[in-house]
Amino acid sequence: MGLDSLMLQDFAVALIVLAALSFSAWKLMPARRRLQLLLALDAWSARHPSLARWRERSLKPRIARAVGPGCGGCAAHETRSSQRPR
Amino acid sequence: MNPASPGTPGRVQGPAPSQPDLRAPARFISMDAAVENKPLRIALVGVPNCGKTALFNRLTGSRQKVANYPGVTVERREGELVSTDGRSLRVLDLPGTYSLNPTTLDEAITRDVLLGRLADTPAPDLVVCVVDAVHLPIGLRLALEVKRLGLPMVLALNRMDVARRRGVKIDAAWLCGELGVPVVPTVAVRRGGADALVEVIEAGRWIAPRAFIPAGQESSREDADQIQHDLQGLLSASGYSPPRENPWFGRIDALLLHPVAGLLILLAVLFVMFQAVFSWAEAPMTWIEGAMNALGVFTAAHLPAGPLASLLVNGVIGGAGSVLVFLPQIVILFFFILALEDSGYLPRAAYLLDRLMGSVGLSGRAFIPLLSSHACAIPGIMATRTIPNWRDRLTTIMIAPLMTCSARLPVYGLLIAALIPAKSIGPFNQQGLVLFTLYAAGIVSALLVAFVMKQFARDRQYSPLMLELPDFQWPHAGNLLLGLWERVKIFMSRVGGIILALMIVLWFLSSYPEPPPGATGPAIQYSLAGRLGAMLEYVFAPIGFNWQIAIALVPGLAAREVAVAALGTVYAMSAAGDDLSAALEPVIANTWSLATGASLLAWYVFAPQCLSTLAVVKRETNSWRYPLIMAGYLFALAYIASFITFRVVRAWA
Amino acid sequence: MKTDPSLHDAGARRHLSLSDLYRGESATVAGLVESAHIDSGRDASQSLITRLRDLGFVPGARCEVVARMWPGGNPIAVRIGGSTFALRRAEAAAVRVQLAHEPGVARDPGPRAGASAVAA
Repeated sequence: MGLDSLMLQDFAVALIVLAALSFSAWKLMPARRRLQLLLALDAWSARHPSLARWRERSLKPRIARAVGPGCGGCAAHETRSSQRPR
Repeated sequence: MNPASPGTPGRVQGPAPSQPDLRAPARFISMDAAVENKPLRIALVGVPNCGKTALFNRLTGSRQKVANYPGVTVERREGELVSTDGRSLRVLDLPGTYSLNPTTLDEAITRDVLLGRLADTPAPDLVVCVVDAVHLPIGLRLALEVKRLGLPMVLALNRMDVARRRGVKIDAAWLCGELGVPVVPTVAVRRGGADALVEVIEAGRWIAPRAFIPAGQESSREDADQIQHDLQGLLSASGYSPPRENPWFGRIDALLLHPVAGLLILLAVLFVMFQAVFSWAEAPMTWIEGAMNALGVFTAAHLPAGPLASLLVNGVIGGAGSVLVFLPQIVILFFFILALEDSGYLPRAAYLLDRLMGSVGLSGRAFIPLLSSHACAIPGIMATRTIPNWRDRLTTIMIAPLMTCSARLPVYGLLIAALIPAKSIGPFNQQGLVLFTLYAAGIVSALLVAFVMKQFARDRQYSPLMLELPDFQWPHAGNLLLGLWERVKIFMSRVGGIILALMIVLWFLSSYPEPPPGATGPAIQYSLAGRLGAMLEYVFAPIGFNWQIAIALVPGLAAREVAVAALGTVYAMSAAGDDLSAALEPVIANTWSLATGASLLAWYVFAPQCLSTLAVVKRETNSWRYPLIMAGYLFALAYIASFITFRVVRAWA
Repeated sequence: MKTDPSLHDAGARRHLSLSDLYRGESATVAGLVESAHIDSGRDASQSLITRLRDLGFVPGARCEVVARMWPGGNPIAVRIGGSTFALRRAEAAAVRVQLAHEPGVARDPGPRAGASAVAA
């Protein structure tokens, strides 16, 4: 599968480690800083219409959740929503 | 201190007048509110244990846990109700309250939301007042109080089926006529049980009763008397009679609440819980361990040797995998906690322990937040909002992290399994005994700390107990399974999320810089992590921690169970040669001394290896001071305890 | 310090406090008074009375003591209006009650620690 190439391996590892670093930083960030980042992201993506769909679908609800109630630090308090009651 | 302003000083906005401001002109609002075409906010209000949260779940389709007693409902639970014409309505589940004159912060929040006092939460467009038909007077009284606010209102008469069975006769239509607001029977626990309510909500023609108090203000003493008068009038006119008593409940309560038998039963229940956590989890844990090992071997065999293989086998599987093994123990622990919650037993335990807790300066109401803290200190700390007295509440918050939370289980489980032989002393499992001792140590130290804090108290204001002991019910299997599933998901997302990410980062720090050619010893010692560990070792040597533990404690600050994963990674990296799939437990069993293991256990009883907890304390106390004090005293206690334990065990073994 | 048993004489329908009742006794609520046991001022006492009333401790309501903790009956578990509440001595002392038993019936004093108006 070409994984013999050490360079390819190094590349894969670097990618994974960077992803892990960013994710950790994101999770361990204080809530307010995270919110600032989200809003900055929102402002930036507003200027790029090609990102409009992603913005509506994922970014905006994420911001709404962050602004809303509950503590960001514990997944136990996230509300899943909108299933029509039968 | 004014007892009408509970909780954190300054957190509840506005003064709490006992008289309405007579200088302000009273505005009496009388209207038929037809609300159209704007995002609508509905608030659910009711006394604790009226089934309000079950109704909330029914309306929003949300799969949340239905808590059976006050104090577990988190501040604001919002959900979405999608109407037949596609409109989205937001539903707010307000904390249960007995009155709009609050005695706890929880109740103050409900009042403030209804009065529109909270800056980021406007007053709801519609209030659904949930009244338990079985306990009609207490719920109806609140409904009358809410009615005086003048907000559009619907009364949901819940548990009509149970009421009928217990011989309570209420005519919803008659009540509607008397009150002047729609009265809708609901059975929240049944499918379709809220349909009638949804219809009324969607019809959009809500009625706002005439407001009896100026908008935004609280009711006065005269109002309270008037409400009582109206209530008694309603009850006698409706021919209401109290529900038939179930004699079994009385007999069970006589036993469970008995001063001696009750306490013994409580102790027995807790003991069984801890024994079960070990014995029932044995088989599934072995299975998971085997699966992880096999996965590691498989991966190592199918990838060419190199950084990628090392990352996957040591970082991912060795790291995150070693935490995954503890899933069965956590499931069993939560099974017991949820079952006890659902059954209604926990407030009875609070009753039994109130005297004991009072002697160290805690309110009996602190029992429930402290018990919740055995799952996770974060909801436990948030649950302290039901404690009226600020000093009591602060004490409870400061000792909550001492309760053995579920994240400690992987650490305890690993060390006990590795270092304590699985002998049996009579009917008791030695390992289970040690676990019980650790849990007991957490509780005892918490009581001691509370006692010390009590000595520093300047005032001793009376804090009431007045706790409701809800009727018994068999734990609802559906609720239980849902609750367990939630817990499993949370655990898996933590493992697959932050724990995995941190392990990858740790792997990276443990691999680079690479050892110079011709170096002896495991590669990890030359890496960044290794050097950091060597430095930290100076700090931790007096308490018996080796450099591997020292390294593991750093990412372990993010969450307690991360330390297990980190140890997994570090030891996997330290494995000489091709031995990449060695499991963590035997390595520890073979290389650590009992003293080191005991010392680490003692460390974990106290150390605040959880940044999230400190963050929540900051949020709940509105200052940096308390989380810093908490971190300080806990680390100090941890170091001292580890020191003593290490020296004592080493001398004795 | 034990209560004067004459307080429980058949026919002597004197007012007792909820905190004086034996385990298993039923009574009717006669009224709420400010409890002398609460030593943090009138406000706390008033708010206690209001809350007790909100919970259903209104004149005429039947209540029964389900359990008393040892020692000193602190707290007690009271059944009223179909619900059970745990109250401390000081809180229960604010509730004046009238015994519900009939005159002439011999009463068996159950196990109790000294019940009196002395603060616990």
